[in-house]
Amino acid sequence: MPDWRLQTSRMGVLATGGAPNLHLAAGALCEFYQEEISFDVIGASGAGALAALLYAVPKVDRGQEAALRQTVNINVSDAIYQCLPMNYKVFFKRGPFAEPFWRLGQLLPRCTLSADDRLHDSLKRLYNDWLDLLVSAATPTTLNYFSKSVCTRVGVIDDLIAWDRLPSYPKQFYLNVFDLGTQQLELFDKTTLTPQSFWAALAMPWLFEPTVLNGRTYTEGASHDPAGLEALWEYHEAGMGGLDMIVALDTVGPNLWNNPANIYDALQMAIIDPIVSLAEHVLAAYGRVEYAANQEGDPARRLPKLYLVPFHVPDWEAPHILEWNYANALTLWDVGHDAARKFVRALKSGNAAELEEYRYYPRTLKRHRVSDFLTLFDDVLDAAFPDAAAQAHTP
Amino acid sequence: MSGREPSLGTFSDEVKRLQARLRQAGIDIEPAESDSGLFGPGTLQAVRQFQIRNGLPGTGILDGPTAALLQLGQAPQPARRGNNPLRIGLVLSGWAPAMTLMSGAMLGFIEKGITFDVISTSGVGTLIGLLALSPKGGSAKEALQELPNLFVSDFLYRLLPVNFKLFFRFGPFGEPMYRLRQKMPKLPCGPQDSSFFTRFVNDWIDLVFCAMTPTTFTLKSPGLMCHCPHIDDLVDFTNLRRSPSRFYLNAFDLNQKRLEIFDNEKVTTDAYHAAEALPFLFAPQRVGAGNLFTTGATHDPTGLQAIWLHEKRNLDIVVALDPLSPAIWREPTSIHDAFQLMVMNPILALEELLFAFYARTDQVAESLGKPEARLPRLYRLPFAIDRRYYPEMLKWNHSNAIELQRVGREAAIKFADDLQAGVDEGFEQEYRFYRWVEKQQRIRNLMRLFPSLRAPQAEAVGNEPMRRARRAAAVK
Repeated sequence: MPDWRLQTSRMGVLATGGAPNLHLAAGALCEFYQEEISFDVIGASGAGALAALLYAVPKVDRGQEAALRQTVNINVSDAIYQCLPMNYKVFFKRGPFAEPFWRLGQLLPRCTLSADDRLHDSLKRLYNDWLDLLVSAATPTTLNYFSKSVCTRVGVIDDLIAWDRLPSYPKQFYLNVFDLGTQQLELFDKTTLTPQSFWAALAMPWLFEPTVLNGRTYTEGASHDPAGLEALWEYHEAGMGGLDMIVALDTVGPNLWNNPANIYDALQMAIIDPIVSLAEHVLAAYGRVEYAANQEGDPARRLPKLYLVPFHVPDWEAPHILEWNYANALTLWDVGHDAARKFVRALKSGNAAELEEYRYYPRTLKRHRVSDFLTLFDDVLDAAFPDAAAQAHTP
Repeated sequence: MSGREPSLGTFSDEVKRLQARLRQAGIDIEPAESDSGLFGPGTLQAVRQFQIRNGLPGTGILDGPTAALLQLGQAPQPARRGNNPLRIGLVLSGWAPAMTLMSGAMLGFIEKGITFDVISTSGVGTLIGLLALSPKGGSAKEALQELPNLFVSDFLYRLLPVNFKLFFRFGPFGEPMYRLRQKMPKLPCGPQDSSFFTRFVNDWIDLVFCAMTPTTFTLKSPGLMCHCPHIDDLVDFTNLRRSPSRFYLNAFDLNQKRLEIFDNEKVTTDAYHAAEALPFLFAPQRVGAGNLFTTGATHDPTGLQAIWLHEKRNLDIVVALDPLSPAIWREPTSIHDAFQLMVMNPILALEELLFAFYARTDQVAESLGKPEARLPRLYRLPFAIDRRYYPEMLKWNHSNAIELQRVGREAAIKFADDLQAGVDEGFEQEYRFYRWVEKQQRIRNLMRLFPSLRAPQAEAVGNEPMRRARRAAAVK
């Protein structure tokens, strides 16, 4: 393991939930790895967890870069997606046959796709995905009205992550999950996270059934804290060194809220819309509170500063961000990578003003969907932090 | 208002009430006079403006018709704290099948003579708020009582668990087919009438009409269904503008990417459909010739944003209905149920979060004792529902509708009785939202992230036991 990963940075990163965030987060985390940016703690939620695990412990030791580049391969060849707009490589038909059929499909001869093979119309990609489609179509299902979910999990993730190395990962890792029995958000850390608990944390209702582990029934945590912020707070308060900075990877919010192009798009919007909104509200509120507290200048009341890595999805791509095709995955990955590169440049510049450009609260003031919400706190925070009040309003 | 008309220079509590009513009707009064109790030139001008807006001669004199429009003469018994009348707001939200829970609560309030100066709504709460303030061709009580008839016969629902009386097939044929159905005879069936035969026959005909409705739905469609065409039969949007109570609904503007709040003046059929346009179920709705909107329930499911943005200084208290999140955070019973849980799970989480933020801000503002930081105090109306009943609550069958209406009504009557008895420490303990928040470990854990929003008494609770509990819960 390179030495830089052992150094304490007093920085945490949030890999937020929501399926389109996977490729954005993978691109950003790849850049962080390439630039040797180490985080003392990773707080993951929902789909962001896969990218975060690949950053931490990919199957191949020190194979982070290749592993994070390969995430785009879970999307479907453009040619097939045009005819059948669904991701049968991630969402497997419900029932006991999904796993054996998937295993059988893995035995079929396939073309090798290197991390550098980024051709959209690659015949190799088309061939591989066509095989997967045949296997998926041939898989019987037991789905019926009384089923509790439409999909079943298979061991795709097991082949990507080095679960055995996770407990010895030198930094902390959290993934949130919701316990239906206690109605509490729980955290799996690097010592308790296993393939089973990972799936429990991603068990979004309707798509996947709640998971029972040691007598407890879990569903995904992303429906409750999609930002993963509670996990970082757990670390900050637990006396493990504390944090000075929290880096939040942006949500897909600004590009998500569009007129859906078709019913698949509308369905995905119904699923993602409230999750993204919830993440933005939690982060915006924290950003507002920490900004006021840190402006005050009282060291006893300081909080970890929240920064945003903003994703600028090009206008021509925005209507397609919910699509599961390869072209979209590639674009989002590049957007994530570019956004992190700019952030890293500011981080390493040593120029406080340049880094301040990425501070969460001032940025949210430009986002009307949350700036109106933040006015709730204005009077109370002004009263609590009188010295900071003027600055907080005009950062 | 007493029989005597106030003249220029009059100074009284009645004038103060008049000024409050004018403000609620959206008329601005000169700041020097606003809420002062003095009938000065500013108040005279405001009365004149109100009269002209409502088609009355603009005399500025508070005559009989003007007082009637402002509901000054027929104000029901107000809730009272000591000798001061309270200005009360109500926020309504929630998931669609629970609409009769809200309608029951509203019926309870009406029964006890509680009126609201402001009703702010989100999602399906919009329908209840509109029926309470501006029903078409009848009283609010009748309109709200009628709601269980929008639900499906238990027998039919067991065979086909879909509400074909509220959700119409996508395309332009939904409305004409609905109108045609309205012309067909129906067996008389009261909303509480559970008679198997009449309900089955009426609903069977509705089902046949639904099945016969052609649809233009394709995979390229932006939504699964078309908007409920009967809202114009239920709500009088013109009358809403004359209501002395302020009304708000929220919808998310896809063009501006922000939550838009519509008030009495701006609410139209389009705005109502926008507020209900949950993605996938409905296509985004264009309001007038302007922007496209989807529901505001995925951005502010509480309806509270309108309160702190527009009514912060105009209200004493705000009443919110229990979000009942444990009824949604549970295992699904079927694939249909699972789909509803998927959509509702994060909305309920956001609703709890916003209630908690408001409650904590309310609590901190109170403890600071600074008037400028004050918010209308938030109270929670709890519902007595057995956990075993939770899976039934998302069903669209008639028996669920009347059960929830009963529960809502009983809860509101008890709340109203307690409120009218006086807001003492017992009332605060039972209903104040922040007192409830303090007891919810899930919310307390979340609120640790915001130490500046921690009230002084919450410090004593400490965080260490909570953290230990959470660590212990993580399983290997």
